[in-house]
Amino acid sequence: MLEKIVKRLQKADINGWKIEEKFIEGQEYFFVKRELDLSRAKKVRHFDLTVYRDFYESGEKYRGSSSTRLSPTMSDDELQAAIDEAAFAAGFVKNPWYPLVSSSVERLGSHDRDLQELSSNAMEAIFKADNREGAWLNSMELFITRSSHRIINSEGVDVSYTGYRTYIETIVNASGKEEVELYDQLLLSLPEKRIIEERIHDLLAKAIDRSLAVSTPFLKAIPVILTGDPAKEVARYYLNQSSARMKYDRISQVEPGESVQGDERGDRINLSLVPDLEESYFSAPFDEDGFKLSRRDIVKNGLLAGYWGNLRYSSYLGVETTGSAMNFSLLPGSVGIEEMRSRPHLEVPNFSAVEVDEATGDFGGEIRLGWYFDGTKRVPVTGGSITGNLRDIESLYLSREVELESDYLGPKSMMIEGFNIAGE
Amino acid sequence: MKVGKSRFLLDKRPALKKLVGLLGETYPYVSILGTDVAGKTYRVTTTGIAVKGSDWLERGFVIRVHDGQRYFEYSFNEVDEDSLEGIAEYVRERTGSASKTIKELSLSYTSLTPPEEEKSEIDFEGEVAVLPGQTSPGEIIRKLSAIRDRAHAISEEIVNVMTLMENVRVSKLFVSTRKDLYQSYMWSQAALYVLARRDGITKYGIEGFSGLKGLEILDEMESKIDKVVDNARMLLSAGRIEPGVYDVICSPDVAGLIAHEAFGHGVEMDMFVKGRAKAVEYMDREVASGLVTMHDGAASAREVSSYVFDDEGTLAHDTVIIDGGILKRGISDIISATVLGTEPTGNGKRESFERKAYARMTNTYFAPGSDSLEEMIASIESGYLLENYYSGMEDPKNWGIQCVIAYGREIKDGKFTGKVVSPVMMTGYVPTLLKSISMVSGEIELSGTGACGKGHKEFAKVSSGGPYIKAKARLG
Repeated sequence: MLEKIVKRLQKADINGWKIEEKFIEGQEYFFVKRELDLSRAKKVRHFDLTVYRDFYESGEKYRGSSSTRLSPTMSDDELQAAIDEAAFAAGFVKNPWYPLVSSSVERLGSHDRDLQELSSNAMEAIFKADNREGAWLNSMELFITRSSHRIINSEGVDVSYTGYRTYIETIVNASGKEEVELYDQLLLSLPEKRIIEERIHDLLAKAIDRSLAVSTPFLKAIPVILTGDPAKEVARYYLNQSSARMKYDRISQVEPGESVQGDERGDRINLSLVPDLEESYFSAPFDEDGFKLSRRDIVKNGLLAGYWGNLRYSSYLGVETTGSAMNFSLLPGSVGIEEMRSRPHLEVPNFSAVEVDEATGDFGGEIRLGWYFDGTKRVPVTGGSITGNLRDIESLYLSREVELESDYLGPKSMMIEGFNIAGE
Repeated sequence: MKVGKSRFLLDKRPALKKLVGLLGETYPYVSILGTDVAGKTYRVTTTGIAVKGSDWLERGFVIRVHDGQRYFEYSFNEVDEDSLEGIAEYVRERTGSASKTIKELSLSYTSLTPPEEEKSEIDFEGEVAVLPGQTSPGEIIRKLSAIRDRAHAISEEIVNVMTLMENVRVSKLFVSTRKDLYQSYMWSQAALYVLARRDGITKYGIEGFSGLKGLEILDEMESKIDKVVDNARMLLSAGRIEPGVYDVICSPDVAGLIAHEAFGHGVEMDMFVKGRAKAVEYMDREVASGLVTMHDGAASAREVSSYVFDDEGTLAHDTVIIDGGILKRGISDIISATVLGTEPTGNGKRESFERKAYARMTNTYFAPGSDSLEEMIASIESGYLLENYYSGMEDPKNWGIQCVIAYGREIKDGKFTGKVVSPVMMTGYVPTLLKSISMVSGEIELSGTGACGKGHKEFAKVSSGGPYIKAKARLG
């Protein structure tokens, strides 16, 4: 199919093209408690095509593009129609010209793993960890996939790699004052038993705390400690302020050498792109254009060292291309988590959903589980919300302890002053 | 105009029926869903133009078999006459391997009976006013660019404008031993997003448009340009709300978000099976004010989630979830209905042929009442009119709710003060919120832009809406 597409593209009235072929094999298991409700398997192949057309207007050179997904079941006529339609549409897309990634050939192999064995390992670890009194696994969904990628373009790029992905969605219950639940999603490359077991243990313990939680009280002028996923989402806000695309689209206002942070006291951000983060679900050696990725330092001491982005947006800003890596890291901060917890605070590891607005800096979420420490006693709390704006906070301290959370390796906790807490 | 049919699916129908027959030699129940979803997205911003295939684009198949005790599914997208035996053999092999693993780990299967199907045949083709193919990409880009330019012309505080339009034709074929169902319909959505900046402060206004429509949706956008620009600029001088409990009036889109998050997710009956829904304990009990009646169903309204049959071959329903404040029933897929001994309600939906079917919402809304918006505003001593939302999150087990609302207009002594707060986080306990509803307006509006997730994945197209409602809510 790929050769057939390329042959047609070579005859088309276009100035360039790019194809990403993905072949995904997967096994999926859906459990209610320890009973399997449904199992699934998947084998799918996709071809994502982008075509480019160049044109001049008033002496300026422009590059139009149009993309579409091609199915392996397309007939010759359908394939030709899809290419013609994309090429026609690209002629109306008037964007400033940018180059395509060129002349890169690399085939990266991967140790072949048996999906059945990986699934079995994951299930074993999950159910082994379900051993806590007063809390239990309610339901679990497991997805294990092997994805083979090949990216080729009209400029000689031909790169390929294979990766493994593990996705575990877990719901746990605990019974205390009333039966409660907590939700979790764990994303890894391979299903490492140690990580899975630790995660489930931690989740069960948190569910027990939620079952004993009281309503979040009305609190004013107290530091908030964000732990785990909420800390990652705050870190992502700083990553987005450093994006070439966000800058070009006028959403980010940060210039190189300027601070990505506000005037708050505390730790300064040190942020890097890390394409090959060990155990990350998102690790990949190339971006979607076939650009070879490597580690890049983006923010140093709170100051923007350089934008990150794909070739198009880096070219628009006239900066060095980093490629669009899918993982990022933050250096640890100056305060240990226990030190953060030593003064009165509200710590929140679980929101219903963490909302961080990359355009405005607004932060908010309903508290599913938190712990309030009044200086003498630490009690689990639930309900109410935390809101604020990351551009107006009074202080930000990062923990010395770091953890891998999906596509993020960095401080496990962040202590922030200047948020509003809506309790009872 | 008729939206057209998928030649691909119609051509594959004989092969799929043959595959159902082949697998039927091993399994008492076999069905295959074939999908062919085609569409394009046009996006024009201040800084660029993009034309791409819709994110909802898909073409492939999912086989579901039941061996008398358990279900298994296989998703694939490469098939021809010669590969049918190989596909059938792969399904048999995989069901065997999965069973072996479960046995080795001392786990077990949920015991499920296969669905009982009635013989049915459907052939449906929807209609829209203007088909996407009738206008060239150049003309669509020109119209979107004109909207963008008009927004910029209003104020120099506008730093970026995004105009977006997406047309999607959904074609699905469902075949089993007793069913042969086909449908093609089209939905479209559009958005107008305006980013404004003053003294380094950035805010944005947004308006969505949706429906079982074609290119006619472009005409709706033009009338809202001034409103979206005004909102974006208004928010530049908005303050933050003092956290507390307030009397509020929710606009139809915010009311829809509450319906969706509160008793939409809360009555998805796969949650009943898992013991994840508090609603189970409250069937036929009061959960809301007597003014509240709430519907869900692909046949309950004409919006983006209106179809003739769902992804499991069940016909569309109009389900009354809450009737006069009393919780009456949930919405269900086939597997959940089998476990619970209830009837499926046509809510078995997949993100695509590559994903599992879950109990999902379709068009979810509060029914209209008899109050007017003016009466509602006049009745408020101190509170807010809440308009537009950014996001929401459900908590069916413990009935929490999180709604991130774009802004609130302050009302004092029955009049707007001109003060605006933004953004506003509405949280609380669902029955407390719904029981506090004291006024309901007479007209309803639905919209279906964006996507709804189950947890944090499985995105599906839904719509929601309602009338203006007056309630008491905790805001922060």
